[in-house]
Amino acid sequence: MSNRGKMLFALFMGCGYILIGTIQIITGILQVVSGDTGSSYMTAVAGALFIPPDIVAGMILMLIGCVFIYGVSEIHSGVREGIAYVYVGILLSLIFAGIYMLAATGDFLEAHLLNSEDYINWSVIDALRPEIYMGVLSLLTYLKWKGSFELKKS
Amino acid sequence: MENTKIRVALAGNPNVGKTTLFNAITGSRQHVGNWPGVTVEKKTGIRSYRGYDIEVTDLPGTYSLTAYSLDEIVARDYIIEEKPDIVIQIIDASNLERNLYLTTQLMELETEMIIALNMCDLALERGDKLYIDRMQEILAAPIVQTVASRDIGINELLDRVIEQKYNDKYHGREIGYGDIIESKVLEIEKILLTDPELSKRYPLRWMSIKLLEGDRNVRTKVGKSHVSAAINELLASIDQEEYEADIADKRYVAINAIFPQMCTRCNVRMTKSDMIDRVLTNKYLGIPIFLALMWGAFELTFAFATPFTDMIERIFLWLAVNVTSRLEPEWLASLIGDGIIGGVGAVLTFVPNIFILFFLLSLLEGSGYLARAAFIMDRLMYKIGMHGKSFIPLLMGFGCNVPAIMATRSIEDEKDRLITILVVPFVSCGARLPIYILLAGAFFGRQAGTVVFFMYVLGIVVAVISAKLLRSTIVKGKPAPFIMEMPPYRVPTLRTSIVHMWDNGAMYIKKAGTLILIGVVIIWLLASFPWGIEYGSEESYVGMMGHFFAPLLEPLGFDWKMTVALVFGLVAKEIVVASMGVLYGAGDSPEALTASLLADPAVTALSALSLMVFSLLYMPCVATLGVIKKETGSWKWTAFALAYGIAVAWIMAFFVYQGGKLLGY
Repeated sequence: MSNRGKMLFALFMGCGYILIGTIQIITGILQVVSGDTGSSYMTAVAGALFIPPDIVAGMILMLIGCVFIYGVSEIHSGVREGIAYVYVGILLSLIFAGIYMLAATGDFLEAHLLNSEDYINWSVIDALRPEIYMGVLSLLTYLKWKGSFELKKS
Repeated sequence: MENTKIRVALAGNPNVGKTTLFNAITGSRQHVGNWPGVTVEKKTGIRSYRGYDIEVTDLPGTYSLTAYSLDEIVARDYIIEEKPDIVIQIIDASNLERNLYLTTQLMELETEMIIALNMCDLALERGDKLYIDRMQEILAAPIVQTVASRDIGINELLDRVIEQKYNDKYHGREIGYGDIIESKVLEIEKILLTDPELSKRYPLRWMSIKLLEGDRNVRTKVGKSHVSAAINELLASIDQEEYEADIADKRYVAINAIFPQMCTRCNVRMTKSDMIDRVLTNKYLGIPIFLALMWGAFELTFAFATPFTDMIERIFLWLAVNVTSRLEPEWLASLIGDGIIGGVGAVLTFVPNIFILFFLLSLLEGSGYLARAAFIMDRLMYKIGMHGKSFIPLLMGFGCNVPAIMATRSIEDEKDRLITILVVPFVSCGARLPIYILLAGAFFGRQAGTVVFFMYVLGIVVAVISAKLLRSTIVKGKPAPFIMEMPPYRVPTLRTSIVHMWDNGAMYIKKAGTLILIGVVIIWLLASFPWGIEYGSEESYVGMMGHFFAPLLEPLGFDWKMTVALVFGLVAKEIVVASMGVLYGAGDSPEALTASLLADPAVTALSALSLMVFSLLYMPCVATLGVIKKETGSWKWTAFALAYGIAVAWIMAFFVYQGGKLLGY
């Protein structure tokens, strides 16, 4: 896969992370300010994309998006080392997917091992959040490009 | 106006265009002679520029500053003995990596340095991309691009010389050589310090490194001093050849790590480790990524630990029901239930959180990332008046403040060290974590992880502001150079991470079984007497004590029970939770403590937040105070740490509570 392919992937992921992060921050702020997640339109979008209202988590998503976009700008301006940003963007995406997968494992144990009251109606779908499905995308891409993230003098 | 003289030395590898640059600067005003006592040619020249007389000395071309050739000895002796105002290192931009070896050695001479990146045209022509800002940041010196053969960049270089002479805005950097060598460097430095003549004349760190490398010229310099016997004895105990090889190796490791970040396409290969470095040490993204990873660690500490803490709570509930109900007499049941299970149980509940946090910090350390974090933070740390090396003790403070303060021994400069010792107690140690987990978990639900993260951030912010305050008032001065250590990234071993986690976690468990157990028994006694009163009531000794101190802490939103918990927390911060377990938990189980807190009208989300802030910042525990006294050797600074901590905690908690009330919370 050429750097163009990586650039397009980074552009898609960067925009995706920034968009989702923005929604997450807005719904988070609305929740803090008014106690709910705002207009029905915003709630519907957030709900459809499994985005929980969370300001800090939203900022993290935006940061990952920025790492991808930084890579896009470098590759676009001819700096082939810009793929370092794509590589690290993928790593960050995987780290945060891992964090929420482990958090989901904790919830699973609460629900099915300890039968905690707070988790009676818990299902796997409750654990689904953008960090996880974006992380799966990153994982698939990483597995495909694993060998191509090392630069030799051209 | 009388011209001001600035003395400049030109250093560099052979064939980098040094003489061309010398000619371009000085024109015809040159003097050619020999260096004293040797047949090496010495060229000096003067250039009048913007009202300054810039006297330039062309040093012999060298690849390094060892004592293997006369040229090298002449060059370095001039820099050390004559102390020019500025040393300009001329670097061949098309051969950057090779030239950096000399740069790392010049850095150790602690001289004001400017880098002239010569032959930039050749580098750019062949497609190299040079990141000047990044270079300046990493080497902590101004960089000027020059093409001496075409007089390009000469005026800019002279401008920088004047600017650097009168306004040095860079924080010097040096190479780190790893724990073993660094400990020897420190030992030698301490010995050298006892000779005022040597310490005044030479950079001691440089001299120590040279002695370890077996540099004969430096040994001769030291030979005349009264410290020579002690130095010889120390050097006799080590394999100097091995040290010399290790030191050179460490310099190459550092160059390999920094080079790909300064220049692309000229590097032959970019590994995954180089790629990670390129991003994680990025000027704009480095610090946000560091904060994001730390936040992730705290989020996981909370989320993944929950089922395990619940399991421990259930065990204590079972104990409370099955043991205490069968015990006779009543006072023994109360001691076990209200005292030990309520107190020690409340503390032990948080063992999973402690273990997970230490495991994650160990992963970050083992991967080589924390060494970069110090590097990333150095710029910021320098701006606030702290040494980049202070960042490691600050990070260690997340575990326990005691070893963190002891770790400040690696900071050579006494002022840097004192500032770090005084601000480390503001870094939230593991003992404070149970307080946050209890209160944030009870009052902030799903946002608990974020609240705890911000407590840790607040600790760092207060430490940083305090450092700035101290640096600009009572501990005035400029931070010493930062020593760079860039180990390659590696996958941390599970065994090392588990051992690190166990060492820290076990310390916590041990404390629960000793100090905290004694503490809760004392609190139980104070809560049970005078005889016949209701347990833990306002009529008990503990109640009286709480009421005595309560007026001081009332403006912060604390009732007498919270006040008592904080007073006992002076011994060890874990006792705050243990005390609350005794005073609120009523001995049923640690789980009941959360319910009791939520049910108590005196404890609100705002007062809980205020309590977290106060617990974070108020007086360090007794063990930390002890180590502050030991390391500073001064009761004055120990008393200062105590009084300053309490004052800052009170003010911050006051603003949180009263500010929150004003905002309607």
